[in-house]
Amino acid sequence: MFIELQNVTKIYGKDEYATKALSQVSLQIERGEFISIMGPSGSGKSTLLNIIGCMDVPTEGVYRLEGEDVTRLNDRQLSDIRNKKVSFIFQQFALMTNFTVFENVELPLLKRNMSKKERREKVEYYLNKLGIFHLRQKNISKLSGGQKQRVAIARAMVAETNIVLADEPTGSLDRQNGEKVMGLLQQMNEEGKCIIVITHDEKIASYANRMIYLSDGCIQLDKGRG
Amino acid sequence: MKYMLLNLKSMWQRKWIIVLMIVQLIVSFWVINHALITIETIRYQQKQLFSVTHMKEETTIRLFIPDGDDSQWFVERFRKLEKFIKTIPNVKGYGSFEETTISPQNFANKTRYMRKNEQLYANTRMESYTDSTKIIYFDYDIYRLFSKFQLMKGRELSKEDFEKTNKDVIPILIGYDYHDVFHIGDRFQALAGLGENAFFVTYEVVGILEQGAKWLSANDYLIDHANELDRFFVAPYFPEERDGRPMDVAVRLNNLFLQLSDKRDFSSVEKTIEQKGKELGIYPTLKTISNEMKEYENNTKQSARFTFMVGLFFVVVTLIGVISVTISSIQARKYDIGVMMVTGASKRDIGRIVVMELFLLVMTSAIIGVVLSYWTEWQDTFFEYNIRLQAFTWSLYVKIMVVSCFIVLLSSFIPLWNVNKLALRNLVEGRE
Ligand SMILES: Nc1ncnc2c1ncn2[C@@H]1O[C@H](COP(=O)(O)OP(=O)(O)OP(=O)(O)O)[C@@H](O)[C@H]1O
Ligand SMILES: [Mg+2]
Repeated sequence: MFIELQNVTKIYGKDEYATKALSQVSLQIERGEFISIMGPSGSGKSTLLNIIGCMDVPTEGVYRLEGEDVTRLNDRQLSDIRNKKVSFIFQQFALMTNFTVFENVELPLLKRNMSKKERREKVEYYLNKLGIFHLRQKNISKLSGGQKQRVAIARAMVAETNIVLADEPTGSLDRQNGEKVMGLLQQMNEEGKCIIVITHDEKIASYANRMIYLSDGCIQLDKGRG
Repeated sequence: MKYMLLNLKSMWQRKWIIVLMIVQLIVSFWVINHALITIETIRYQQKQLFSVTHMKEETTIRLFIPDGDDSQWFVERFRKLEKFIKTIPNVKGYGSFEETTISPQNFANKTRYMRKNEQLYANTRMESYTDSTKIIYFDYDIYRLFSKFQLMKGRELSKEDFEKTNKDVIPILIGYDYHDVFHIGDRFQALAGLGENAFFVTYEVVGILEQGAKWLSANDYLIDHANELDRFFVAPYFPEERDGRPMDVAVRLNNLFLQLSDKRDFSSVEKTIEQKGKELGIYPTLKTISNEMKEYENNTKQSARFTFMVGLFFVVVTLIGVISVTISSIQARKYDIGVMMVTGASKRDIGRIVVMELFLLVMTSAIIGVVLSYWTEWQDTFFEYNIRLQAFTWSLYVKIMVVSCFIVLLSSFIPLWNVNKLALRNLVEGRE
């Protein structure tokens, strides 16, 4: 199994401040799936995605990624997974504002064993592919929301990971830009990547071929499996 | 460490606060350097004494007469004391030396000599004295027992050379820089005495000093940088120069040395000389070179230690500044740190960036601090060579390195703990 969660529980805080964001979630995902996660605010969608992406670790339960028990890994090993196996796209873009487009897109490659020239060629290839090559020396702070999300997608593509996680990627964009972003995600899925998108928008969710509905930290619905 | 380039850019964006931190660090280093240089200099001074002379720690004695002056009354008594000292059986030698300038005249090569001096004296305090050369006059015992310099050509000074009268031809040794101006056997004259009583003394070149010859400074034999004799003359005392006027005698009080055959003789010789002094009404005291060194070392170390403490105080204050600036810059860059971590940076990578930045700041400051210290020492005595400049060796640099690493270590601790506390999920979602 590609991604496998068994009875994963996530509790934030301690004692009277404890919040159960996920409770006993079990989930299996195959290579190359396109999944949307929906649910009301505070239902644990982001928490689930963060755990899948090794940004956070479960309080209880087991998470296996390509058969490896991730819950046992240390910070350095987790960072290695974030670098080589998953890419993130966020509603707020998660770009370094005082740096250029090129520098942001290059980020995942800095941890790889690549020469400067190889890195540049790869970054420029994807910038071209997304039609933002001309922006490469611009500071992120000078870009529009749609352009920023393109940069974030370029970064996810450059990393060439098998998993792409998107947390409300269209949340800050207008309809037109949102559709473009979803088109790109679909394209990445067609290239064989496993895409998981959190969204509140039914229309966006329809790009996926499997839909998971969360509520109160539990999976209420898992539609279109297999 | 490919993240380092990114961080350099980020440092550039924070350049003013970084410059301020560096300035603060430089001041601390400057104070600490001052103390370290002082301590290093003591070592050099002691090494210098024994490398330039044959003086011995325990058997070479310095004679002081604290109340000595240039009055006729004192000079008469002092002459008697000197005569007496030479009769003490356990005293192997006694004498002094003096440093002054003479202007050679009445010789064929004078134009060449002046041109040489123009070259030698360019940009020094001697610049407007191109007709003169510094000369050291020796008593025989000092020359014989203590001098280490060798000749390149000609002959050494002999006992008879030190027994000439004012009318005799005085043999002279020429510094290496003049080897193409004077030849063995050349003669010139120079004035001795003062005013109406001045008269010409004739000198004859008998030898040329080897390049790099050295002798102690007459101003402070222990503390000052030794004279490089390449542009000096060396000659035996003759009566007018040694004892002509009371002033000449007073000048010699600065550099009176005895050599004992055995260190066990010290207390008996001390007693004899003090006794004789008392009879004469002047009060001489004796100190072995090693004692004088120790006294000097203790005094200097004490003041150096104080300076060092002041430096440490500066470092502590600076550390607090550096730590708080580093922490607040981490706080300000939390989002960026989160972005880096999402794309694969580990906490260790982030920590390394923080430490590298501190290391860069501290090392830059240390280097500028050393350069600044060198510059101030150099400014301090622009014309005369400053012995403190000798302290700038690897031994000093290593100590400064150790201090720097210590500062980096202390200032990294809290910021690293800060980095370790960061929770990635909160960084990117803006919860922190
Ligand atoms: N760092 C945190 N500390 C404490 N509680 C947290 C933290 N992160 C999330 N929570 C809580 O966990 C629960 C689930 O949060 P999560 O962000 O996963 O919800 P979500 O489904 O993504 O919501 P939204 O649609 O608003 O983004 C919420 O009650 C939230 O308050
Ligand atoms: Mg969320």
